[in-house]
Amino acid sequence: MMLKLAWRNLWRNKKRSGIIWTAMVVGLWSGLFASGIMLGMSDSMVRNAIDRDLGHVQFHLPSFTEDELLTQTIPDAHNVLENLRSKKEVASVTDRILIDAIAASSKTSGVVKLTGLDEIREKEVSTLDRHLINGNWLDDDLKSPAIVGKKLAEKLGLKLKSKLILSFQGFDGSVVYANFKVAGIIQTQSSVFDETHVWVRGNDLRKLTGRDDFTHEIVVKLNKSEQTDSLEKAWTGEFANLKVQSWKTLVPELKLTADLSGMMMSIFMGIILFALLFGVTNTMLMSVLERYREFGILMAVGMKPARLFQLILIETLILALSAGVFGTAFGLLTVHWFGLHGINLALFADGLASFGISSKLYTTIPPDMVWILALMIISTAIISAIYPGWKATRLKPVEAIRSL
Amino acid sequence: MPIISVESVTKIYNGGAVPVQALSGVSFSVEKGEFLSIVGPSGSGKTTLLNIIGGLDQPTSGNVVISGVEVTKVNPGELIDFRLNHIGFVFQAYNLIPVLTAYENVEFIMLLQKRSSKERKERAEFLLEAVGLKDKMHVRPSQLSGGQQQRVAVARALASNPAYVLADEPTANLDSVSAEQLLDLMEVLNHQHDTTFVFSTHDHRVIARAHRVITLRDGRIESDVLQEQKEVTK
Repeated sequence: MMLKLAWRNLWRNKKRSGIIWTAMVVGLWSGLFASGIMLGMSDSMVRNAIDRDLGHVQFHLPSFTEDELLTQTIPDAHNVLENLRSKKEVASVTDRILIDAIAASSKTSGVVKLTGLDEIREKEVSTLDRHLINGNWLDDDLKSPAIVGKKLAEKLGLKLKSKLILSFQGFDGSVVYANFKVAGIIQTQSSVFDETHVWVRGNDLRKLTGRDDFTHEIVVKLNKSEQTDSLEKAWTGEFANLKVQSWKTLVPELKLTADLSGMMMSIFMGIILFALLFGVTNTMLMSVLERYREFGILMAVGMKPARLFQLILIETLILALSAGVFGTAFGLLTVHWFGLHGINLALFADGLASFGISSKLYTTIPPDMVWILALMIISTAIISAIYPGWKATRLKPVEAIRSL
Repeated sequence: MPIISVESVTKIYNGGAVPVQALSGVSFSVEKGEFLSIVGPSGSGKTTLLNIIGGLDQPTSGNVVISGVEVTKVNPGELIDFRLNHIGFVFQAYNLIPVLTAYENVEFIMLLQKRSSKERKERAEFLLEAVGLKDKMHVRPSQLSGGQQQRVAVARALASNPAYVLADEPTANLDSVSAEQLLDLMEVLNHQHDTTFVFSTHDHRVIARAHRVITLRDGRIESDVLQEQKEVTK
């Protein structure tokens, strides 16, 4: 009966209930959609970085630093690679040589990170080859092929088959000069990345440096990205002589971006719900004050204040939770739809690219966020019922009956 | 034993600049089955007395015993239960719950009493039939006339099986035909079921039908008169 009474009471002023209900639905929907875009952006940034070259987990020498690359070679790299390839959690593994170099064309020169790749395995770990916008991958027939980023190609005035001179320090301290031919030009989501990287075959570098078996970096792509943290921990124990780092450790700012986006979403939804809380409280308070006399009668004939409070609470819960369910469902459906079909942001592609975000954005909401949101909505509903409910229970039947 | 016993009740309101003495040393008692009107001009203390015997207000001094319970010594929480189980209310403006049907309005009181659904159904149907609204049972108050609404209010007042029904100006908002019909109904209930009715009224039609009339003036009982009873025909 209380449920029936509460439900019918909400229909007494259809316009008022309808307005606050719609405000809640629209508020939650837009909040979720905006969060979906925000999380989609950070997800795109993380995924692009992992797919492009980072992988899920990387292995280096413990003393490996970005400044002193050449001598920091992984001992017994061949066995480490074989060991990792035999693990069921691992999707693919490759190794890289990393050297600081100067890339020069006939026009100008610039400092680059020169990466020597296993041209076959690399394709299994990263999506570098899929970013080719011109020319071919390193398995090209050219002698000493090199791949350059679009931005670098523009800077150095390079075209396909252009000569590219790479100079770097050899193991003996002497400077090595080597001629490469531009086999392909790539463009990733990050223009900064594209301006500072050159990729060649690892074996070409080994020949140039006079050592035929060295590597600086082993990159692992996992079957399930959720296993990243646990495997990082497990492998740190297993490969004690190496530094094992997940993408989160390697690029902490990327992890921070992902974490911040989640936190921002909670804050964002919190602000929306906080504003809605006042709206619902106001609506319920108006409804209570309007029925002051009726409540006075109910208390006079024997309804206890606790029951009256219960009635207001049920009314508020029906209003807020039904709007919450609709708004959330509508929001999640929208996020799901744009998660499948994407939002085309080609108009802002250049700006997004500088942050490593794709121009086609796929919205996303992690499942655990939905539970947090549900909890936030229920709390909002309960909190917004407290003041109107309390107000109703404070009335004195004698005064309420005589009011109006 | 009387149903209501009012002993030397005084009520002083201290809310304003000057204390107002609404009742001074009022004493009377009401026996089961009485059909009693409390009358008096505005400001005579009628409403205050009604609130006190309705368990809605407490006297400043004196004692009120209803069904053997000293209501002046009952705490506010228990007083709500006391009202629920011992007193039936009929208000001037009907005051039914607009979103509930006639049947549900009557049933609601018994729901508060936590009675079983079978019991609620039987009694609500019985009472609505008794007040002549069996065919309007599932209609909301807005679709009923004033007289019909007040009859539902009578059925609601009787739903809890109270010791007596307190009716505050029950005919004030009714046309003369509806008022007469309502009074006929209350007379029948009083006659056939020995239901005690206490009215507060200005309406001469109510006063004329009352078996006993207590007149208040300036917070005191001016007169307490037994009237000749006419035969109830229905």
